[in-house]
Amino acid sequence: MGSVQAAFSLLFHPDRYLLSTILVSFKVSGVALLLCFPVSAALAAAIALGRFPGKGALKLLIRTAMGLPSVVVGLLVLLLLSEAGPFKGLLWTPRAMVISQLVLIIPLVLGVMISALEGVSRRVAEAAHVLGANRLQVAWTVVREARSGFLTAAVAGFGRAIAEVGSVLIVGGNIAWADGTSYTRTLTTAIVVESRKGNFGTALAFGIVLLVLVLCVNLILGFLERPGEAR
Amino acid sequence: MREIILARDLHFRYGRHAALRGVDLEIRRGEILAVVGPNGAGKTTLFRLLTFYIRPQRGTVEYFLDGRRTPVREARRRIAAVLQEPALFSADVFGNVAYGLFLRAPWGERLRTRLVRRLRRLHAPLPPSPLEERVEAALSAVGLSGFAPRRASTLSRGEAQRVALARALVLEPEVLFLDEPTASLDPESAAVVEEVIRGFKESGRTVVLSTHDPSQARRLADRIVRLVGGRIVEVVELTTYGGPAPPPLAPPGG
Repeated sequence: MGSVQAAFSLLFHPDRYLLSTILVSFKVSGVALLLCFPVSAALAAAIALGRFPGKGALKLLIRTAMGLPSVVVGLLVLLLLSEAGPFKGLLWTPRAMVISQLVLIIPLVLGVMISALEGVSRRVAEAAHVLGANRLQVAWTVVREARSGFLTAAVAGFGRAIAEVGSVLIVGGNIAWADGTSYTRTLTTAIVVESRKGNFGTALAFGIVLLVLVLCVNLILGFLERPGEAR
Repeated sequence: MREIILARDLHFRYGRHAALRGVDLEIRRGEILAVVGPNGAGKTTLFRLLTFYIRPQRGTVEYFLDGRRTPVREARRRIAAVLQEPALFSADVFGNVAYGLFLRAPWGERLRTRLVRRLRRLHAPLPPSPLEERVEAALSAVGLSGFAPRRASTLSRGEAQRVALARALVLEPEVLFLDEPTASLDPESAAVVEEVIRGFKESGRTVVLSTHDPSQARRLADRIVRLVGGRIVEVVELTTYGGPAPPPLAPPGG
């Protein structure tokens, strides 16, 4: 029971360690999602609406990559960023963590977006066409029809990014300064170290924060997803 | 020139299934042309080719809206079509009917209309923008005045089909394509649609419609083309041409 008490006392009196770790988690996963979203949206529209050879194979590849193990991604990004790799100097920084989370969530976000776009009736595209829309305008119309699926993609992407441990641990290094400020320590990697050290109360507090944050993100997006009025 | 659309030797196949096998067709200014035939005869494919949604694997479709060949891009802006399924966009009725107008309007007018509509929701007593007036006129032409704020998903099948018709009418196209416009409609909606088609022709514009109801074709059409198995097997003239020329088109926006 002592650790539950410790967890709640930390939650009601958050210290610098807890707050800075929340901030690192949010910054890294938020930036990853912000970078991922427009790129994935454009790619998804091109893949779902385009006709080109190898489309089936590409979709299979994306679907396979949706379940990419995060430690494997971490390892690959580590090799890319290491002293021998092409992007040295980034290793063990928040930027490296953003890169590895990007690699991790792009296939997931892309896959969800593609199925959302393919769920839109082809008739909608034809209706837009016969009212005079050009190819770009047709694509934009179909994307707007799939907007709730795009929100789902964003939630899924952010959820995966903020909850994953493997790749941020490998390329971020789980660094916290001596004064208790997190540099590359996220909620998830903090849980790993704290529970290893036997500080179950602290680990539990981080776990609760993580759950509540994911819940809040879902609530906000669920609110946005309500059918709005047309522009 | 009386012929405004010339289709030559159109072929189209979906995989192994040949939907069209050599269709020659000319469409004349101001006529109502009905394409009849059983399901699977190629009517929808023909419409998709004529509206440039798909390209013929052999043959050509050419428009001559001003006596000389009209480029595809321009022709597409001067025609409109209503599909067999209404396929409304998930927006309100206004958003659906205004869709084509928004594509064509300068950004200032789009912005103005959006702003006016948003402010009115805050109870600002604003007069309708010109674009809103055109939408309302099109809606009242299909008997749906006041439906603008309704969400498309709450409409009945007949109402949805009429919104799809209004969405095309509001563009004042020179040629209107209607694929099975009254199939599976209630009698009231079907009567409204037929009345709109007649009114459209009276303004000197051209209508191409498909139907598998022969009596509807005879009621409405000047000419009937029978399509069977991807080929035209019969052309029936119901009114004789050679009379006075059809009246000129009303200026756009009028």
